[in-house]
Parts: sequence; C-alpha cells; structure tokens
Amino acid sequence: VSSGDTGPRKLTFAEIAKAAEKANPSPKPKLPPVPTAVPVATPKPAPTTAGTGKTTCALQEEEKKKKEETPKERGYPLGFKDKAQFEQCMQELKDALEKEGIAVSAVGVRGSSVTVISNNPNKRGKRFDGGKKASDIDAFFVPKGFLKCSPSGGGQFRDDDVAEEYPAISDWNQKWSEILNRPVAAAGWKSKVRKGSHKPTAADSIVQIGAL
Amino acid sequence: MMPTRTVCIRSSLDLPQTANRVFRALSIENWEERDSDNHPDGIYFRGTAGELTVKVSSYDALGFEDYPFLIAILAPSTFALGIDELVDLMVVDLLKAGFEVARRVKYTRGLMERERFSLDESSNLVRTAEKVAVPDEDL
Repeated sequence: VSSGDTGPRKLTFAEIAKAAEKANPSPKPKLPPVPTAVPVATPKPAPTTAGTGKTTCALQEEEKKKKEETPKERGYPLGFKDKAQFEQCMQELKDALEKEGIAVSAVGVRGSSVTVISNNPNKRGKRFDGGKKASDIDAFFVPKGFLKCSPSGGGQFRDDDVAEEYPAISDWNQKWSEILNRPVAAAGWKSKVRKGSHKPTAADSIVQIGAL
Repeated sequence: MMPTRTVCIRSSLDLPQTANRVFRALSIENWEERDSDNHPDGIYFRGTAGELTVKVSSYDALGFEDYPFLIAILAPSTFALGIDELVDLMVVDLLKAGFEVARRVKYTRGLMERERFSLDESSNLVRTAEKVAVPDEDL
C-alpha cells in the first residue's frame, strides 16, 4: 500500500466500501419466518371424516403436537425446514472439516435455535427469531487435534478464525447462510475446557454427529 | 467462494462503542448488533457494504490478550480487489482512525507469530513481526 507521491492515488477502504454499497445495495432486514416449534393456539373444529381415515380433528391434534415439540424433541433446530435439511447441513460441515484434515468427535448446533429461549447469561430470555431480524444459527465442532488458530482461555476457536484458516469451512458458512437466509457459522471447542466455560452442553445443543 | 480474513484491534472503549467507531472509520453505514453463542459476550456487530461483510466482536484468543477486539472481513472471490489487498486498505483506515492493529501470521503449539501494523511518514503500511509465547494447550 502506498500513498503514491507521483502515481495515481490509491482508493481507501472507506471509498471502496461506499462504491460496493452503491453498486450492490445491502438488502433491508427481512422479517424472520415464524418458528415452527412455537406453540400456536388453534381452535378445535368439529370432527369430520377425512380421506386418510382419521378425523380432521385427529389430524389437527397431530399437527398441534408436532408444533409443540421442542427442537430437541423433534431432533432439529429452529431455522431448518425439516430434519433431513439439518442432517444434510451437518454432514456437509463434517465433509468440510474432513476436507481440511480436521478429525472431530462431535458436530452440532447450539444456542437459541435449540433452546428457543436463549440460555446465554448475556442475553437470557431472548427468543429465537424474536426480533425484527432472523437469528443466527450457531454450529460447532469438537476437534480431536490442534488447529491453526489459537483457542480462547475458555477453549473456543472463534468462527471467524476458523473460517480464515480453513476455506472449506468459510464456504460452508456462506452456503448455509444463503440457504437458511440468516448468518450461519461454525466455531470449534476443545474437548477439555476449564470450569465455567461456555462450551456447548447436552442441554443447549443438538449433536448430530458424534458426542460431547 | 467467500474468503475470510481477520485482524485484531486495541481499543479502550467497550464493544458497542468500538464497533461504532470501526464502521464509521470504514464508511460502512449498514450495520447491526446480532446475538450469537459463538461469541464471548453473546453478541457481535455485523456490517455490510454491497458484497463486503465486516464483523466486529470481542476477542480473547491466546496470544492476543492485548488486542481485545476482532474484525473479520468477508469478500467474494469475484470482488474487484483480492481479500488480502482489502485487508491492507482496511488496516490503513483503522490505523488512521487511531486503532492499534495486529494479525495472526502463524500459530503453533506454545507460540503465536503475529504482525503489528503501523504507518510510516508517507502513510505506507509497515509490518513488524512479533512472537508471543502462549500456554501449551491441553487437548
């Protein structure tokens, strides 16, 4: 980088950012979809016979039960359309980790997409997709060996550090952020962490591959 | 392809105030606070300028205890400038805004190799290599 005493002046980052925004304006925040696991009160209709042999009342009861299941009970976090999509997402993360030579003991998702209401001490009580913007999906993995970035004292490898050092994981973040229309990123956690660490637990995560 | 690069900054302000100053320095007007369990405070700040994304968050990685904030930049590989050139330009703007800036070069067991940035009299970027001993990791 040079200020260039004789040649043409180089653009600054701020000028490039302005030009990038002008050429491709950032989309305005979209309202998130209604979470499928949030209980919805439905009026009880009069029972009538449906083609399946079940009454519409029975079918609606099944649907209501499905809606009342927590993400852990149904086996996939909020933000995914179904279990198959979640399984594909996690398998692709595992594939990206393998491509980068990272062996793992666990891959999953944690946070309010699993618990619906956040357990994080800094934002306790906040609901997934409860604001005007779609909430993040926080994926994680537990590597068996050392990574090319340093962990925090609490044993976490930050998602941005991981993305920088391992392009296949950066691409996975990008691909699934586009599919799910919200930020998606994978952070790493050491298998052994000090007491008081914010490592994913069985209570606040869905482990799709391996175990914590 | 969406390469990511990170730099660390020193700031005496808290995270929201630091993020505000960073986005102002980089002329990124479209930014917001977001919740995420992948970040130490449960929050981070995310700004976009067209195809560019810049994230600001607290940082507590070994070897960077003296740089408490992380800035990540993401740019598609089709962007007019390469990601490393963008990082250099971003660092210049951050230094001019008064931040101290450093980045990881290589991390190996027990040692963080990093570079600290500064500007010379002609506003050229100067890199100074540093080695910081870090506690040995247990697996």
